[in-house]
Amino acid sequence: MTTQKVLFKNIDTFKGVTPCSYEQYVKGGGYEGAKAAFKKTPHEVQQVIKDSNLRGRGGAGFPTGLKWSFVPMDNFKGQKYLICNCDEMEPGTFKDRALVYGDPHQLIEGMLIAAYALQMTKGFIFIRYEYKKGARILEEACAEAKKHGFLGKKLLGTDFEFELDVHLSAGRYICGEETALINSLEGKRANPRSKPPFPQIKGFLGQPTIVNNVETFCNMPHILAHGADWFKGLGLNGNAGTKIMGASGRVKNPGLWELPLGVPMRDILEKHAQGPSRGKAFKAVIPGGLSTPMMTPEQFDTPMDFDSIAKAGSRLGTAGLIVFDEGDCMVDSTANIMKFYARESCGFCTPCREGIPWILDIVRAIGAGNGEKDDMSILDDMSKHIMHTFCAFAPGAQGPFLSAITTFRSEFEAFIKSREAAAAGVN
Amino acid sequence: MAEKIKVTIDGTEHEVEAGENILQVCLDKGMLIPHFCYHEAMGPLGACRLCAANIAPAADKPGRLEMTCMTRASAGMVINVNDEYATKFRKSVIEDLMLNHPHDCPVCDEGGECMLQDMTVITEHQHRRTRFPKRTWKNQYLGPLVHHEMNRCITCYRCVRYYGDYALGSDLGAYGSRNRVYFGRLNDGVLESEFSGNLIDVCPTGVFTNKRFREVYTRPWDLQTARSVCVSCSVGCNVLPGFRHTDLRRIKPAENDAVNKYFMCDRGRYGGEFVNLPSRLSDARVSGTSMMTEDGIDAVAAQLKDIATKHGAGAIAGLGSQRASLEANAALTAVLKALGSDRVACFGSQADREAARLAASITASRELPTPSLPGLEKADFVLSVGGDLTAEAPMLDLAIRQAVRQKAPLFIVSPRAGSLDKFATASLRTAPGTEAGIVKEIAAGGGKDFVAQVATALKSAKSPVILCSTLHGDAALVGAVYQLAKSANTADRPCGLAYYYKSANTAGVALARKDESPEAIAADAKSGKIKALVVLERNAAAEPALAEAIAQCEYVVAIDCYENATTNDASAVLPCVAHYQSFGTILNFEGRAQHFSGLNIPGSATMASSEVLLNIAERLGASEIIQGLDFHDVYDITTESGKAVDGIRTGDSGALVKSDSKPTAPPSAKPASTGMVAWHIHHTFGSEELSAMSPPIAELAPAAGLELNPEDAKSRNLSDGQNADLTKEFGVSGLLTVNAGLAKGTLGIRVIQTAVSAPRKEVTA
Ligand SMILES: Cc1cc2nc3c(=O)[nH]c(=O)nc-3n(C[C@H](O)[C@H](O)[C@H](O)COP(=O)(O)O)c2cc1C
Ligand code: SF4
Ligand code: SF4
Ligand code: SF4
Ligand code: FES
Repeated sequence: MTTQKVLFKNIDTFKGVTPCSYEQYVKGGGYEGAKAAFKKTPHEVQQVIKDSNLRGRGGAGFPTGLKWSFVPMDNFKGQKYLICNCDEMEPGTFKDRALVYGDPHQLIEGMLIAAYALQMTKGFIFIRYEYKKGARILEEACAEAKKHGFLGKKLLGTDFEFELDVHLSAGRYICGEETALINSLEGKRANPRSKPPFPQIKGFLGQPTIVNNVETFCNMPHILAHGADWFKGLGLNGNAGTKIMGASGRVKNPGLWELPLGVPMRDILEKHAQGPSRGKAFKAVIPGGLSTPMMTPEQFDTPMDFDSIAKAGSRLGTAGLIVFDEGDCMVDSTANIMKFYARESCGFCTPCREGIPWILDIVRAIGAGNGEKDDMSILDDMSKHIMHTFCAFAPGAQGPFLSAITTFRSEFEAFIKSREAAAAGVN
Repeated sequence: MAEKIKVTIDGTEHEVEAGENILQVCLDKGMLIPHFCYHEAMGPLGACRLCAANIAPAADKPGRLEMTCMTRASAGMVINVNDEYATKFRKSVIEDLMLNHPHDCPVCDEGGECMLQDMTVITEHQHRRTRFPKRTWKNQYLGPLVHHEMNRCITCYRCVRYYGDYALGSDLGAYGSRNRVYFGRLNDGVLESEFSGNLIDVCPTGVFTNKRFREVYTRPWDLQTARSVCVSCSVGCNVLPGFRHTDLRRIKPAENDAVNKYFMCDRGRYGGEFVNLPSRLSDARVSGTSMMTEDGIDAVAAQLKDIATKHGAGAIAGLGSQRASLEANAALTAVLKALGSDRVACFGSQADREAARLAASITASRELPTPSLPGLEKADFVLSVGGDLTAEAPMLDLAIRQAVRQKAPLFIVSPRAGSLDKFATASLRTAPGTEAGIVKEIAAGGGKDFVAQVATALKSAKSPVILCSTLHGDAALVGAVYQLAKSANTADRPCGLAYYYKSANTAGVALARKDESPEAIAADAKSGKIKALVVLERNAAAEPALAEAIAQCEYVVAIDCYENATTNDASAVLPCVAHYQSFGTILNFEGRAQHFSGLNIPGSATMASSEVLLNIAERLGASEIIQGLDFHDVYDITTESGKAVDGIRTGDSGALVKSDSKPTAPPSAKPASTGMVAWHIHHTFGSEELSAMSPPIAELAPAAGLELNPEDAKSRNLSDGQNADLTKEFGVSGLLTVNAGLAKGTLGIRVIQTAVSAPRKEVTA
């Protein structure tokens, strides 16, 4: 199966990523999508996106056309904002980085199309602190786009204007959650907001706002240039488009590949990532960045698309596989995972702020041989309670956590028993 | 009115308004759903996750765990608070919060009235399952009022929501993230807000506690408490003073939907310690001899009778009190009546008297609506004229902040910028005496700049309010504001008008039937026509208009709760209990008659000043006068419902008084002065007589002195920090502060009561 390179047309991550220049980008058909879009009415562009079945690439897979449909349009006269979410702090996920560092104009063009479709005249790219260099690349590309009439006033022969700024984040995982992102962009604490009102109605500075992921935007120039049907044809089993999939952890060839949505997970693990890195059999995979439940080898034939992975009990998320092998201790791994969540909790709501560090303390204690009889029942309880938090962060943490203590329960119990056995021996 | 719908809560159907907050519905109905972050004044947040219940949109739909504080009632909704998982979840939230809690309840000042304790018991979290180290914090110095103990924090965000979002303070924040969020200032330092004490009440745990109470701590259930009304300004916040043994240990706000609900200002909360001063009077003193109060009363009655017989009825006059109750002032009139006199002066100057009496008569005529505190919060236009709300009526300021938060435009016309000015849409600094002219211009319409801006905003407002100070003795301004409000007031667009006053019961005594100018009484006392003065709860010797008269008058009887210049020089001193132990009725700025209850506290006087006076009247053989004494004889008031003001008791919110007589015609404005005009600067801390004696308030009071606008200072070759001798020009001298926030042509004179230094007595709990 050969995959058509769409998003990675100008990018080869295995050769090292250098930004594709404006000239190169245009030579490869760049900004044709924008030109096609501007020949249509904003509503028509929205319809194309809706027809393409594009689903958000930020993790939740929410249909982009549907998300956009809540933005007030014709009778709305106030300011609306378009935001690109490039916070990308999800462990195991580094696709947006490649897209931004490798082909900045693709993102700018995608945002221009969205801005036009939604009649949003002001945009921001909210970029992760560690991607400082990416921010500079984007700023340079924005200047270039402005020079060539793709940003600024009177764009492509219309009265439409679009101004785009790059905002370097202060560096918190929660800033990737779209409402926390908006608060952060407003200069407030990065705590999520309650929904409703949804950002589409009341977002940045209380105005209608759309937040989309980098990869979501990057698909748009191609959809506009080649049409919705073409895009739908890119995926397998009725899935629309390609997806940047990644693998890290115990694989021989970690990296990123643009593959059709619906490709079997095994293809990635064995063909692209070239199997286990240290001769030990695979033990588990977290399929979609850290915040998704673990999957085990008997599930490796599951197609990598939103619905199939969901049916298998996990989530496609960002499609960045994190791979464990038989040599990995799942208690230690769980501690490592929970350490991330304990550190990145925004501190707003109780079960996440206090509960996750407690989980971490317990898991660490178990791993250190200090587990106690009741620990597993506390962990079981907590795995339920952290589902009822203010935002999706803690439920995200529950994904790998609950699957670890369920699927690999015997490892936890063995640690606790050995201590009990030791204690019994002393008596 | 919102539509009435039915919801089912734990199996029982309830009628509620569509869209109502489910948690509030339950709390109102007496079902205590555990909660922390929700506070009625600040609204829902959804952070603590404690108020969880199982909620289904309809009986045939599946329910799920939701936060009741984040859920609005819809028809047919089924709420199961007692759902098994919800109950378990709430318990787990408490367990989470207790992981890091220091469990220092035995030494915690919050103990016994701690929400965390209550919620822990309610959710039945009893057994500690964690075995890991707890987080610890450093505490901060936050000034003399509020103590900080961060380890007890449960991260509910109430403090920052109150302090920053609600009270619009900017120096308390939430810092850091994850399970290390710190609530405090950027650095140690005195909290800037005049409303910082409310942190103590909004914080559900012992992080923010009352620093003064802490020093003389006692368990709250050991406090002797009776509902009272704050005495430190004319807002009349309802309070719960708490006594232990002989001392007032603390004051807390008492809920009253019509006045202050949850909050009060720092002056009121911390200003009550005058009650504990060593200068508190407990014995009578007649001609230098201490005696029992009863004996003192006998001696005073005899002496007054003697003077009346010798010199005639006109030889005796009374000085009424703006901080004493209506009852006490009425009793003073009874004493005078028994002696055949009807001469009373309740004010410090004729100008103050005119302004206050005009304002009170306008208010009591009920021609225009007087906004209550909750009413002010809902205003969509605010014009504040003539004074500094934060300093002169603090809780009005906090109410205005709520209107500002709802985007109401705020305009201020006054000689000096105060704390509220930074939230104003526009402020106009103008010399004292010129405000009335500006108000007239606004009323006339047209004009330009500021005047036009205010006039336009007023025109488009739906619920405008105008507030005016009477503390600066400008009756022409009172009248001009009345005319403006009247012209803006229509049947479908009422315009609220509120005047505020110097003292807690100024509005009350301003409605007295008989009251004359203090200057007239002073003149007669100096000339010897008046031989005796009966001074009720008032340091008249410190008042410029009366000082000389007091000094020269043959026989001065002072009735007060603490020693001051007047009692020191008086021929006879009769002690009365301090306000927070006393009972009576006072009228607040709205003309709301509020009753306060008394307490018997050992080691102090035993009689309220009204009782002292009635006893004198009785000794004078005036039992008929006493029996017939009814407020209506003395004050020009009934309640709005037509009932007498007598008998208003704690528990109802206090009736608004009404007077049948029309407001007197306002005097015409004096011609604008061309030179400098003196203006008394009132400060939140240090200007009000009683609270200024309280040590923490004295600590926060600015230094006494003078203020000038930079230009005025420059033209006199004066600079900031210099001792300015303006004796020739104005008869004053003092430390000069050059203040760009003071209008040109204004000589600011800071009103700072000299605090009596009062070491706290050693006490045992
Ligand atoms: C804790 C948390 C972190 C998130 N981080 C990111 C992120 O780094 N990038 C991203 O695009 N979306 C992130 N999301 C999802 C966003 O909230 C949002 O759904 C997404 O940006 C929408 O874009 P899409 O519709 O194009 O997928 C995160 C969500 C949560 C709950
Ligand atoms: S779940 Fe965690 S990240 Fe989300 S609001 Fe609560 S504390 Fe913040
Ligand atoms: S200090 Fe008090 S009010 Fe503030 S977050 Fe902590 S517990 Fe809540
Ligand atoms: S506003 Fe006035 S009445 Fe209210 S607490 Fe403060 S000083 Fe007392
Ligand atoms: S009270 Fe509802 S979440 Fe805190």
